Amino acid sequence: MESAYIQITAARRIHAVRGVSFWIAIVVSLLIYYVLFSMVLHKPQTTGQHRKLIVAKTTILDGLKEEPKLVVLAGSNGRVSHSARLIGEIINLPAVNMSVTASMSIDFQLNRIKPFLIAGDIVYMPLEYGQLARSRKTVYSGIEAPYVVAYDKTSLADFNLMRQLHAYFYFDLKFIFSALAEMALTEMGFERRVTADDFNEWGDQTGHSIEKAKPYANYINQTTVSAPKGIDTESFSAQSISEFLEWASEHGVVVVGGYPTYAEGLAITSEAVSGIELFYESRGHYFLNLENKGRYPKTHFFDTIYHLAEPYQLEHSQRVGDGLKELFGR
Amino acid sequence: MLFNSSEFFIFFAIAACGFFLFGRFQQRVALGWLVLCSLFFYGWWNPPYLLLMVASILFNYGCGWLLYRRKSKVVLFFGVGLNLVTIGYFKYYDFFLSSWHSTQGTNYNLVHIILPLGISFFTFQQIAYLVDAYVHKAGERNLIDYALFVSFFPQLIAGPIVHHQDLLPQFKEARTFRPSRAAIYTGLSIFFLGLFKKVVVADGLSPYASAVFNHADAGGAVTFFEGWGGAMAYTLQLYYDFSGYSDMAIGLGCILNIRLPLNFDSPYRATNIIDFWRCWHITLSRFLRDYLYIPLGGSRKGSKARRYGNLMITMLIGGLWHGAAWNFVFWGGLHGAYLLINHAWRNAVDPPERIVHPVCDVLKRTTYWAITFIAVVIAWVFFRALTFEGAFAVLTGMSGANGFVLPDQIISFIPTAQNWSFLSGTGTMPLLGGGTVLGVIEQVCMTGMFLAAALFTANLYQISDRRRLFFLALTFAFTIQRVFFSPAPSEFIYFQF
Repeated sequence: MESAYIQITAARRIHAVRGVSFWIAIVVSLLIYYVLFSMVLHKPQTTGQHRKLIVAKTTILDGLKEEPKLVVLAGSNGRVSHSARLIGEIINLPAVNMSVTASMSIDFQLNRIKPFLIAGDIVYMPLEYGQLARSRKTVYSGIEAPYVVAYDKTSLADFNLMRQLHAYFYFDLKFIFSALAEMALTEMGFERRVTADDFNEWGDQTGHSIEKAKPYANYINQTTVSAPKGIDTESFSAQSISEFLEWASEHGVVVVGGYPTYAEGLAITSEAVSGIELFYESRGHYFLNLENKGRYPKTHFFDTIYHLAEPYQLEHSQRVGDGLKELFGR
Repeated sequence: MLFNSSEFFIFFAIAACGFFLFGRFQQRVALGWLVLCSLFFYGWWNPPYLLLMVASILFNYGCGWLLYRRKSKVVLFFGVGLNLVTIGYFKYYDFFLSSWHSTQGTNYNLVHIILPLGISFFTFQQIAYLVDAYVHKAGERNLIDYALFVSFFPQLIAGPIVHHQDLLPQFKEARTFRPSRAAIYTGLSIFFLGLFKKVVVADGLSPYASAVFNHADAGGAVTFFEGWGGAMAYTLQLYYDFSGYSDMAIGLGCILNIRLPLNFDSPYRATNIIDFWRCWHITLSRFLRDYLYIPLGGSRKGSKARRYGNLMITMLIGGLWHGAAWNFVFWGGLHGAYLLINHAWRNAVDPPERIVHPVCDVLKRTTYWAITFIAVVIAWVFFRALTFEGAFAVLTGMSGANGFVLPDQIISFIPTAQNWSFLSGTGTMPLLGGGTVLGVIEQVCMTGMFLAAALFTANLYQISDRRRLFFLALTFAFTIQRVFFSPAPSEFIYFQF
């Protein structure tokens, strides 16, 4: 029989822990965690909004699945700074903006649009630079994890075991506080500043006017713009994009890489741009090279240095549309 | 190798199994195995610096052996001197160089020597050993025991600073080599709770502090809530980071049947600075007291001014021990000043034995706690900021001189807040809660919850096994989440010291 006490330090004895009790505590901890995050807590204001966006945009895409179309896919810069409506008009194609957020893993987003793509489709991807160099661990910890755990068990079941584990273990302690706050706010009838209703029928964000940008002006002014890095072709995210490009080539879908929008400051180097261009072009696709590299004065931005206010969204989309028109002679 | 990395778990399992396996047959071999494991652990970070560690062990072992045989001041001064020169070169060379050239107004190039991990810890341990060998309080004849005392991996990199009397006798006890289920499970429970403190609490608070201090160091202005948010986040981050590491070290030691000294005893509950230093980094305070303050004359010799001078010198050196920069020296000096004020107050106004009415006592203790805590928080600002300008920018913000600003959406949720003329609103505050309203809620909850835990819950070694298991059940899954399923682990703050 072992002692009920352990001399833990020179000056202190403490109650010893029994093996059975230790393992029970571990199992209980994991059970509490599972129940809490898979069944009780959720984030209606953020994950719920992502769900609304995904459902709404997928519905638009579904309506166009039989005809050649333009799909704009990126993170939030795709959603806020790009007007699929205007670009589609310029190149004379029906269009849909499928962009949600850069925190959502790129492979997850690409897998979601694949079933709706047909030969002749154009996918324009002004991906945020960060999306071009993410590790497997970062990709597996994308913001789609709480979405699939809460709302999309089918996609969750399609994940490999390691990714399923990452999805179930996505939630940290802070999630409890913000989830409780979101659930309470939703009960009180609170709506986020930007909701799923602020989108037009092409899936573009609208209503982010210069007037509404004023409260963020000071923050944007103070934000330092650092030089974006190029693509890391060995990274998990780049390989996922590469696989999609191969799939697109096999199915007659044309992919065009593009610049994400960001504020003027330190610019991406020409070597980094060449690397990204080469990545697309060596796989039989295109890269749309804009003269301003997607950079605009800070005064053109809405709430971050990546999101153009609506008038400049249209200005940038005109540039992109003209570029695509020239590229494809449409 | 970090305690919160996957590879450490594999390493430790092999180290512990080997130790107990060898210990069944030959205790010397088991200790030798632990030395090898400790050196491997150290070399994992930067193999060439393993040579420094081995050379330091051999040199100090030799000096200690000589001192034990013959009391020689020459050997003592040579031994302590070379230790100081080594740490001076690796840790303070650039600092001395830049300070010297700044006073001369001349140009210079920094050498940028990579600081060997844990050099402050293992150097101090060995200096204490040499001093005690000189007065015949120490004298380890077995090289393996000595090497393990210096390199024992659970405490090698960030303490606790172990005294030879704490550790060496345990290597000779037969019980050390017998695995005990009770010790293993108790050690594991303490280890995982310490890991929770580090990876969930400290790492969770870290971005809030970094945002504010990086901004201030870059010359940006900080407002009231941002300043206090950053300072409070760092105050808690540092405590949970370092005490978490100490708990992990004690837990790992417990699994291996090695008792390590307690390093923290709820320091933020202290109602005066003297008590704070009895509870914060206890083993460093003990070292500074025994090997610096007392040899300087301590509190028993000389005039009051001399005693206060000794205290101030001790705190300034304690500050410099934490890092090669003037802000650490200033931090040490600030705490020295706090201690002087505290001692003077005790002597002149409020001796501890004075009896007051219970209600007055509660009020007095609360007031004393608040003053002590705020003083500690202010001092941490100098500890965390990279520049004095940055520290003063944060303190200016905390004073309210740059205004009281909150996100519009939060103000709209506070009843009558629109009528408070001193409060202004803005769209986004990236220094507060990562720039989102929900982030602010997270920051407030994290800070409030773990401040309350630091103030109102007994420490890990005072609670029953049931309560420890209860906390383990609440925290284990979050710890696993951070270690295995979130992006790369961060380093422990005290590694840099």
